[in-house]
Amino acid sequence: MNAKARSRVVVLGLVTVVVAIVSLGIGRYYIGPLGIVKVLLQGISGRYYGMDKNAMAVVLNIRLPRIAASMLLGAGLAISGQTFQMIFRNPLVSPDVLGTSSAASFGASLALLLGLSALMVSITAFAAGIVALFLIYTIASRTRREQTLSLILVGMVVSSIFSAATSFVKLIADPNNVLPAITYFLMGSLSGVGSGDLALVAVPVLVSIAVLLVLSWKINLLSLSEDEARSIGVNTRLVRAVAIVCATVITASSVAVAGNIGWVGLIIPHISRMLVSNDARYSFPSSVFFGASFLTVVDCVSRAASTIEIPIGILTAFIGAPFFLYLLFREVRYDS
Amino acid sequence: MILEVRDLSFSYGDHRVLDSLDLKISDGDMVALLGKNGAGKTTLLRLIPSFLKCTQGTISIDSVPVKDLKLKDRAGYMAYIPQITRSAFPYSVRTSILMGASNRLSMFQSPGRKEEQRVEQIIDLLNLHQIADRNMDTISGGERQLVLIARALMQDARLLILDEPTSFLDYSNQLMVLERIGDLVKKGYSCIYSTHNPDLALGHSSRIVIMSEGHISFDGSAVELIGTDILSKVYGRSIEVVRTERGGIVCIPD
Repeated sequence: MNAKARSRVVVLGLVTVVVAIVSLGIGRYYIGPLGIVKVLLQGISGRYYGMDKNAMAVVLNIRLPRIAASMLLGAGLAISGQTFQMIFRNPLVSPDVLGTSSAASFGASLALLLGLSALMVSITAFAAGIVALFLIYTIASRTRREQTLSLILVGMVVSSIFSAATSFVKLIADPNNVLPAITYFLMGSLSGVGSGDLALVAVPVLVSIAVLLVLSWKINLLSLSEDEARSIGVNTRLVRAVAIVCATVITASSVAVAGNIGWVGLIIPHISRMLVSNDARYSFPSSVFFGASFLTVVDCVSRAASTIEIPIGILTAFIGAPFFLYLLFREVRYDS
Repeated sequence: MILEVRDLSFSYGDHRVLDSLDLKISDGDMVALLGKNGAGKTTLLRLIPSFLKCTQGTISIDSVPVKDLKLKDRAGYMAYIPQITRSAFPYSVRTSILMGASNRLSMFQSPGRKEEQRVEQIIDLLNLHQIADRNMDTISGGERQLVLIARALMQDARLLILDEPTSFLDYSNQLMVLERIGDLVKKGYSCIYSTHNPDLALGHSSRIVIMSEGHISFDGSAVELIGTDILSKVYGRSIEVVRTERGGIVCIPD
C-alpha cells in the first residue's frame, strides 16, 4: 500500500510539472511545451536557446507570476481544506470553516472602500484574517466546551459578524465604482495578482504548506477521537493549534490576493484520498500537487475560454460542484 | 508495574460520581469492571490515564503520579482503548497499528522502517495477517478491537484500559477478544476492562471489581462471588453465581 501510494504521489508531481509547462504556453500568444522549456532554460541560464524577446516577456513577466500564484494558492487551499477536514473529523469541511475567509473578505472590501492601493488591499485582507484567527482562538479557549466544537461555534459567530460587516461596506460603497470593484474582487480572480502580491503571500503560504507536510503524521492522529489521540501520547492541543494557524494563514493569504476561490479546498482532498490514501503522509502531498494542477487548469480556462475573463471563483464552482455530486453518488452506489 | 488508585473521588458539577475509591492493579492482573449504567465505570477508566481531573485522591504508576507524567511517557505505561468508534477517515490496519509508535517520535517526525518492522512483529504476535492489508472500515468489530489492542502494544504500554471492549460484538467475537487479551495478560501485561456482561467477567478475569453508586462494593476473584448476593444487590434482581459441572463459573438470573 505504501509503495503504491508513494508512486501515485510521484505521478501526480510529474503531472503538476507538465500542467505548469503546458499552461505557461496557453493564451492568445501560444507557445508549445518545448518552447516553454527553452524560455525557462534561457531565463535561468542566460544562454540563448532561440526564443525571442516577445516570448520571453509573455512567459516570464505575464504568465509566470499568474501561474505561480495559481499553483501556490491551489496547493495551499487543498492542503488547508484537508487539514481542517481532519482536525474537525468531517470530510465536508472547507478552508473557510473558521470564518477567516469572511474576515479577509471584509478587510479587502474595507480597503477598496477607502481607495487603498492593490497591495494594501491584500495586506489589509491578510491582516483581517489573522486578527479573526486570534479572536476565534482566544474566545474558544475561554469556553468550557470541547475545543474542536468551541472553535467551530466561535468561528460561525465571527464569520457571520464579518459577513455582516462586509455587507455594510457594500451598502455604503459608491455603486458606480467601488461596489463593482468589491463584488468582482470577492468573486475570486487571479487576473489582478501581481508580483508584489505574490511576494507578500509566497513566504507565509510556502512555510505553512511545508509545516503541514511535516506535521502530516501527527495530523492523522487528530482525526481519531480525542481520548485515543491523547492515549497514544500526542499533544493534541499543540498539534491542532499549529495546524490551524498554518491552514488559516493559507486561507487568509488566498483571499487577500485572489478573493474567494471556493471548492478547491473541499473537493481536492476528497480526490486525493480516493486516489492515494487516507493517510495524510501521502494524501497531503497529493493534495498539494492536485490542488496546484486543478487551479492552474481552471485559471487557464478562465483566461483563455472567452474574450472576457471569467472570475475563477465562478469556474471552480461550475466545475467543482458537479464533480462533487458525482463523487457523492459514486459513494452512495458503493455503500449500497 | 503497579497502578495504585487511592482515595479517588470525582464529581460532574454537584453530582458525585466516584467516592473515595481504592484500587491496585499489578502485572498479570486481568480486572473486569462490573456495575449498572451510571455506576462510574467509564469515569474511572478515563480518570486512570488523566483524561479527567479527579477532585480528590491520587493515581500513581510505580509510585509516580500519572498526572505528573508527560503524555508521551504516560502512553508508554498505559493505553486507553475506547468503545468501537468509526473514523471519518478509516486508515489501513497497518497504519492504525503504526500510530501507536507516535509517543516515541518528536512533533515533526514520522515513523520509519524501524517502526514498520515492529508493526510486523505485532501482527505476528496477534496473528492479524489476514486483515493486515485491509482498511479499518472493512473489518469486523472484533477485528477492529484487536487492531486497537495491537496499537496499544505498539505503544509498549503494559496496562491496557478497555472501555466495554465487547459491546456491539457478536458472542464469538466477544470471547475471541477476551481470550486474546487473556493471552497477553499471561505474557505479563495487565488489563482493566468494563463490561455489562457478568458471565464474560466471571469467565475472563483474574479479579472482578463491582462498582455501585460511586463505590467499589466488591473486589475479588470470581470464585469469591459464588453463593453471595452481591450481583443481586448491584443489579436489583435475583442473580445466582454458580460453578458448572465443567468447572466454569456462571451467573443465573431468576
